[in-house]
Order: sequence, then structure tokens, then C-alpha cells
Amino acid sequence: MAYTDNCDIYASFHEEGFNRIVDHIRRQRPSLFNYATAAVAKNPQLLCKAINVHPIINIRNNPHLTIVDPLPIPGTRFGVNFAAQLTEFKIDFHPGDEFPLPPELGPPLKAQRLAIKLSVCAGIGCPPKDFIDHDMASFENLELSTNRMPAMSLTHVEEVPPRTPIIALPTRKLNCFCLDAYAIGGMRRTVFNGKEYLEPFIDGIEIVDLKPAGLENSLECYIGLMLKLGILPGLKILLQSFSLNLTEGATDLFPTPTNIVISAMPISASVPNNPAIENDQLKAFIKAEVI
Amino acid sequence: MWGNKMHSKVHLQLFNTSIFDSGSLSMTTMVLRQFHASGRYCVTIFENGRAYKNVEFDVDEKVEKMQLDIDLARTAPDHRRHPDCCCHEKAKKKCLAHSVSPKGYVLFHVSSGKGYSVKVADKEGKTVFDSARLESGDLFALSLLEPAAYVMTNTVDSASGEIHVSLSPEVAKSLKTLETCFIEVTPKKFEPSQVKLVSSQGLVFRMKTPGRIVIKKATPSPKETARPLTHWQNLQGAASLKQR
Amino acid sequence: MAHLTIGASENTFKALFEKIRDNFHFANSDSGDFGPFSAGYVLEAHLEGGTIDLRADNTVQIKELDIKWDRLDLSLGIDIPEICVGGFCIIPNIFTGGCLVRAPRVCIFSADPDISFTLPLGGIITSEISVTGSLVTKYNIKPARPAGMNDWDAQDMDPSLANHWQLFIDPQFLDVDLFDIADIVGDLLDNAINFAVDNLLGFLPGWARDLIKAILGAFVDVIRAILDIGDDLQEWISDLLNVSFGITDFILQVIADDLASKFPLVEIEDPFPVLEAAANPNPGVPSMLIPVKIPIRDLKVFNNDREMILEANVG
Repeated sequence: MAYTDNCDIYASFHEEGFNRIVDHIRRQRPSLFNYATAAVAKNPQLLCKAINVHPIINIRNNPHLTIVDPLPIPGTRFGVNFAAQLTEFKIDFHPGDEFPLPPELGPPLKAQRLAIKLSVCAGIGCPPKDFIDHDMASFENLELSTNRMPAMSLTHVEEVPPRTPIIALPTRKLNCFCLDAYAIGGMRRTVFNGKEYLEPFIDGIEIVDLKPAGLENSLECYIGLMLKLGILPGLKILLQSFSLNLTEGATDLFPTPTNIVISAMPISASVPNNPAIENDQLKAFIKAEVI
Repeated sequence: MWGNKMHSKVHLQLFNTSIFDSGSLSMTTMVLRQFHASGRYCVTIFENGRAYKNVEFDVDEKVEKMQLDIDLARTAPDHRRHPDCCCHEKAKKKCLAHSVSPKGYVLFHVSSGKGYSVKVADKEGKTVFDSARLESGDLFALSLLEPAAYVMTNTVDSASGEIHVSLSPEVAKSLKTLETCFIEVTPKKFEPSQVKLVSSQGLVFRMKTPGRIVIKKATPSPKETARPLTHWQNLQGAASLKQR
Repeated sequence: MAHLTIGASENTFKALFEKIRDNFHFANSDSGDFGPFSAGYVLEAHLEGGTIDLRADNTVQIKELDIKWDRLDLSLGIDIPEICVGGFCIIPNIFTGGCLVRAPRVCIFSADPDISFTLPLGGIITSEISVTGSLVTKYNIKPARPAGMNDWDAQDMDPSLANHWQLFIDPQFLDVDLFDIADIVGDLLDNAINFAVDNLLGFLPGWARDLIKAILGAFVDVIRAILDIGDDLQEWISDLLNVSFGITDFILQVIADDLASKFPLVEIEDPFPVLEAAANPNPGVPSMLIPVKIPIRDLKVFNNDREMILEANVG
């Protein structure tokens, strides 16, 4: 049986190769996996884990992390610095033999499914105790004069006006913690700006042994949202790239544009899953149409 | 790629000569004489009546050569040379011609140009041959190329005759094997007086009486217009030209 | 197992090949002296047609690839023989039957004239080539790329200086049926000869041309004899082009070299971009983040009778 019995181009990535690709993405697009406030960005030694970047990141002044707003302290204009980092991201394609899944995710890994093992490290930058006790007033005055904000006092609880920037309280370190989480999901085709992509998605996440359950559930929700809305969309790969741009050719040798259009084979009895996750591989069945 | 030019000259005179005169030689005409007495002879070459060059030849019994060709045009490079040079003086190398047997013939011909004649003097300076007036025993030979009707005349005694030259596709095939035609020139007549020749066939007048043979076209030929030159590079037109 | 496996169907492979086939153009010219004649040619050609067959023995066969001659001009230069009159016998030897005195020959031309003409063979010759080869990969580094240049700067250069894996067909056998010449070439030659002779003699009166033809024989026959064409003009032309000029060898070399090293079937940038450049999530410069590229290692290619397969590892 040939790879291309039911398609024009067949592409498959073994999970080992896929994990290497993810490692390259983590080093070349670290801002996808690391989030922190501006103050932490300016002082990367505060981070929970040092970020290992490709040298090109510094040459091209690409950011090591995505800057986010401080964690707000309700009832105040202030917030605390924090960082959240995805320090490990490992994929296991069906039949799922790289790491065991927690019982909550219903092992064994189902057909056409992938499992992701994550390590998330996060930390909040609590200001020093003496700062709150002694320096808060002068800090507040300084911020007031700098930001031209109306006078406020901690003793008066007033409603924070909308769209007022949160002022991060200074900190000397983050109180870091790390959690292991597991997710299960798959790969799907998406169309973005008229082009077809393959994008991972998750439909279950579990943080192991975190108490109380409500805290676990909340964090699972939050991490899941971070993955679904932030990280995973950034990992979508152009379908054409899956076939190593086989049909593109060398533009300096063949100046006329290619007349081959790439798209995914439709689902059918002979191609029941596209992409397919099986045999430790992610497979794509691609149609190459000569126009 | 290379030039498409012809790299040699055409002797156009071959195609536009209409008078053939034994006393005024041109291409395709020649006179022959047998010099029986051994010794050195001096030839004075005339071009259009003006003498300009002398050459010598020897008649030698020891020599077996039966034919000596003297090209009147090639042996006269300098028209301004004094006519008395060479002969009867100490022979200079460039004036010396070759030798021939007393039984042989000296053939005077012209490779280019026209209007040539010769006088040959013996070692005493006596003229023994004048091509302007042939004597008995001399020969006048020529080839007529253009198909036409010609009139032959002996200007000495007004004998006349006719020559018809033709070139048909049938005889053209045997052009290389044509026999020479001979005409006896006797007092007041040619024998035969009418001959039919094929273009380029050899014709020899055997003089039995003094004479000067002149051959002219009987009627001027119709004006010939050469086919227009076509540029052979334009082979696109080849097919259409062939169909015309 | 390889990290990456790519399979391309025979149809896809054919589309890849058609792209390089359509980019083939070659041109050449040469001339030479062959004794009684000289010859030269100018040629320009491209490729059309052909069928691709992936074979079970890991080879690729391209069959019946047509060589289309945009131009194939064969030029010939010939010295035509002397055309002379005279030489007839003036005094026959009545004893031996020979000739004692013979008239000198007078030739029409001062020297042997030559004529030249060109046969435009482009539209009447068909040629076909078949190639059997194997797929090979080569790693291409642009000579202009400075040492130490990073891969992102290399890609941004115009033209790009990125390294590439390249996939070629390495030809092992080339079969060529180079010159199938239509019968019309005979007419073409005759017309060319007559034209050339007209050019040479066209200024002469008709009777003079007839005489010259009678002396020489039919020009076409004379020139064919000089060229030693014999009964088979097509074979003669084919031998002249193939053997004397070695056009076959030239074309085979061009096609073999181009297939093996000039026109890759596939070119894969290394490192290979998997994520496009994206907007910087943070305010300020740069506005765009670099594309993410993965190094491709150990790329190898093979085929069976149904598909071409690439295997590689992520570095």
C-alpha cells in the first residue's frame, strides 16, 4: 500500500520530530510560551525559569516574553507583578506511549487523539513587607504626581475609574511554583486569510493532585484558556509547509509562478481522518491540483 | 555563417563575343602553324594592332614535343614595354619561350581579352608567319558557344558559308564526347560550306589557301534578359518559385 | 523511523518534472571543413511532451520527450567543379587514333567558385529522447553567502542566500532518436541548390546557363555527388549532424547536466520555515517576529512504482 494511494502528497511527522519542532518554536518564539509584566520583562532574573532562546532572538530584538498587565488588587489602582511560563511542552500521538495519562483524562489515549504534557511555572511578585508598612505612602504620592491621578487613600475605598492603568507594586522576587498538567486533544484544519492550516486543539486538561478541587478546577480552566486562546493558535502550521513546499520550486530558477494549488483531501471512506493521528505520527493527506 | 559571395570572377567575354576573327584572336579562338626549320624564332605580340611584347621559341629537331602553346595575353603583362626588347639580342630569361619539334605545331591562343595577333620572325628577322593572314597549312580553331546561325567568310577571297550552332537537351548529354568538325578552306570556298555544330563543339579550319577567317552571327540574337537574381537566402520563397 | 516522511504521487511527480522540462532551452552552433564541402549549423531547441514513469527499482523513466527545434539551420558550402570549354582535338593522330594537338581549355570562372546555402531543418525534423535515472539529493550553499551569515539574514537577501536541499534526477541512460527527417528535405535541398546556382549564374544569358548545365550536368546531381549524399539524403543529414558535428552528444550532455545539477525537481529551504512571521505582541520595535525555522537533516529520497518518498530528520 502506497502513502499516496488516496492523495497527491502525503506528509507525516513522527512525535519525536514533532517535539523537536516544538522545541525549536519555543526557542525561536519564546513570547508564545512566556508571559510576564513589564517590570519582570525588564528584570528577567525575576522569572521562575530562565528562558532559553535561539541567538537570533537577541540579534533581531525579538521579545523573550509577552508583556501582560499586572495582576490587579481589587479596590485599588495597584497590582502585583507576575509571570507565567510554559516550561515544558511534550506531545504524544496515539497510541500514547510517551507518558501515562492521569485517570481523570480517561486513559488510554483514544484513537485520533494526542496528549500533551505541560509544565507551567508561575509566580507572583509580592512587594516586601516593609514597603507596604513604610514606603507605600511615598510610592503612592510618586505615582500620583507622575501619572496626574486624583488623590486617593488606601483608607478610602473608592471605585477605581475604568481604563485606569494598573500600577504594579515593586517586588524583588516572584514566589514561583510549578505544576504539571496533562491535556488531550487533536489536530484540525482551519482556514485563515484564505489559506489552510493544521492547528492543535485540546478538549480536556488535568492538573495532577492539586487541592482543594476548586482551586484545581480553576487553574485547569485558566490554563486551558491560555492554551486554547493564546498558545495553540500560535502553533498552527500552514498545510503547504507540511509538505515541505514540495510544489513551490526555486523562484530564482523558475520565475514563472507555480500552478499547483495545495489543499487538504476531503474526508471520505478512504481518508476517514485528515489530519490523522495514529502510529505515533501526525499525518496529512494533501491534494495538489494543477491549474 | 560564411559569406554567400562568389569567390571567383566570371569570364564574361566568353558569353558576349559575337565576332570570331583569325586575325584578331580572343578567348576560344586560336591559330596554329608548323615551323619546319629549326632555329630560334621571335614572336611579336600585337594587341589591337599595337605591338607591345616579344617572346621567343626554339624549333629543335632533338625535341619531340608536338605542341607548344603560347598564351598571348599571359605573356604580355606590360603594354608599355619596348617592342624590340629581347628578340635578336642576348636572350633574357623572361623572354625565352620553350621548344617544339619541327613536326609539331605552335598554338597561339588567348586566355583573356581580345584583339590579339602575332608576327613571327626567324633568326634573320624575316617574318615567316603573320596571324592576320594565314597561309596554306595553317590552322584556325575555335569553339562557338552561343546557339545561333553564323556566317563564315574568308576576307581574302570572299568565300562564305554558314554555321548553325544549337544546344538541345538530347545533344547536351553527349557534350563531352563531341567530335571536332573540320572545314577545308580552299580558293573561294569552304568545304563543307554549311555545318551544324553543338554549342562548344570544336571547329577547325584547315587552310589550303591564304585567308583570314571571320565568323559573325547571321542575325543579332534576341535580346537576352537574364533571369532576375533571387536571394537564395530567402528559402521561404523556394517552394513558390518552383511552382512558377 | 524518520521524523518526517513526505510522499508524492506519480502525478505530482509528473507536475514537478513538467516545470523543469518547460524551462529547458538550449542553443549551439558550430562549423567544420569536410573536404569537398564545408558545413555549419545553428540550433535552438526546447522540450515538450514525455511521460514519467516511477519504477519499482528506484529509478525514474522519462519516455518520448520531444525535442522541438525552434531553429536548426544547416549551412553547406561547396566548391563546384571547373566549368570549361575547349580541349578538343585539333590534329588527330591518324596512326594511333589519339590526338597530336589539342586545344587549350578555357574555363568560365577564374578560380573554382563556391556556393553556399542554408537548409532550414527546424520544422521538418523531429527528435525524441528517453531518460532513465535515479533520484538524488544535494545540499546547495549559495556561493555568494558570506561565512557566518545567519539563516534569517540569508533568507531576507534579494536574491535569497538561503541554503537548500535539492532533488535531482541523475540520468544513467539516455536513449535518443535524434533526427527523424521528413521526406520534404529532398525538395528543400533541391530548391536551395537551384537558388544558390541562380545567385551564382543568374546574370548570365539563358543559353549560357543552359550550356553550363550541359557541361556540369544537373546542378542538383552534381552537388549531391560532391556532398556524397547517395540515395538517402535523410541518412546523410543525420550522419552529418550526429557524427560529424556531434549534436547528439551535445544535446545529451546538456540534458544530463541540467537534470543532474542545474534544474532541481524540488528545492527545500534549510532551515525550513514552519511558522510565518507574526506581529510582535508587545508595543515597540520590531513590529514583526521572525519566522520559525527548523533544520532539516539526513534528507534522502527514493521511489517505487507509485510514488516518490522523502525522509528526513529534524535537526
